[in-house]
Amino acid sequence: MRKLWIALLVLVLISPLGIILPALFDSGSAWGEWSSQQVGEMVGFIPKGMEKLEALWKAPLPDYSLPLFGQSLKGLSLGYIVSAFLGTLLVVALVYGIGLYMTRGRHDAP
Amino acid sequence: MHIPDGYLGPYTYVFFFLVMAGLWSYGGRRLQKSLKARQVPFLAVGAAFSFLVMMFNVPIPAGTTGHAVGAVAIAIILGPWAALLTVSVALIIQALLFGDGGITAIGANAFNMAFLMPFIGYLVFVVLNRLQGEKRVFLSAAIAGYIGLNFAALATAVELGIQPLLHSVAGRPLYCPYPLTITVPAMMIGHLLPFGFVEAIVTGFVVTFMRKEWGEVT
Repeated sequence: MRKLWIALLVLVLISPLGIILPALFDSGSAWGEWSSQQVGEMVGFIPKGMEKLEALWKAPLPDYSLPLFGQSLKGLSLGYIVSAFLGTLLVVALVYGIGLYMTRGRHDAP
Repeated sequence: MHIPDGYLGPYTYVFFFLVMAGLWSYGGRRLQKSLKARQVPFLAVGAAFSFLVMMFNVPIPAGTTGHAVGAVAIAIILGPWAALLTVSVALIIQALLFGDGGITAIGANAFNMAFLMPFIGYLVFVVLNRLQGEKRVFLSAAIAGYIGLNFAALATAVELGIQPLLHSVAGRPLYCPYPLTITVPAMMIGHLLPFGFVEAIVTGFVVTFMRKEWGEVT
């Protein structure tokens, strides 16, 4: 089990590869994940419903970045690691909690 | 593959929330029946693995990016209902905290990546593993991962591409403006080529490693 937790930690630490490589190859964003502004530039108009729904939710750490670290690749990478760590903690805590709840009072047969 | 807010109109996102509400409640009961206490830590690791692997954007030079999801690996190791739960939790955290995928699109994104992908991948694996035997587990898992990811990509493309048909005013789309003839090729080229291969390698590697270390976790 320890091996798996260490593997996850390694993934957290090397996660900035997920933004550094695309930056290196000038790849832009994923297809269909642009802002309404960008869509407007591509198709010549901003779809009305898109503009409205887009404003519905402001994520605290948008695109896995910490606003206080700035927009340099270094700042973004640091924010990415912090986001990866935080997200992992949350996901693990939630699923662990659900799993413990589901198996409460249960002892595995040998 | 994470559909943001604003790309799907209300017919589509409400529909997928309803579908997922049913699947989440049925799947939760299915999982509870079969889940063993010693599998719980593996379940948590699986969710974290999926969350993290989706952060590794793979570039197509001067084009776009995509990523693996890990859902098929989880389905093969812990079962498809476990994959439904773990990938759904990862997707919900991604949407709420990091704005990766919209909150209105959580249902659709979960349907694509947490339901369709692991269940199709799991079925493919079961069939191939029976045909090819345990010696070729890497290949069976890799093909299952590849096919699973591509079904998720195709579903995403269809959901996006039907928006202009469902919601347009005076010929102007209100949500995703691209029709099927654009969304399907655009999504599929990336996933049939680089991203599908990344998913295949990740799935093959993780499944082989887990079987060697723990045998059948389930």
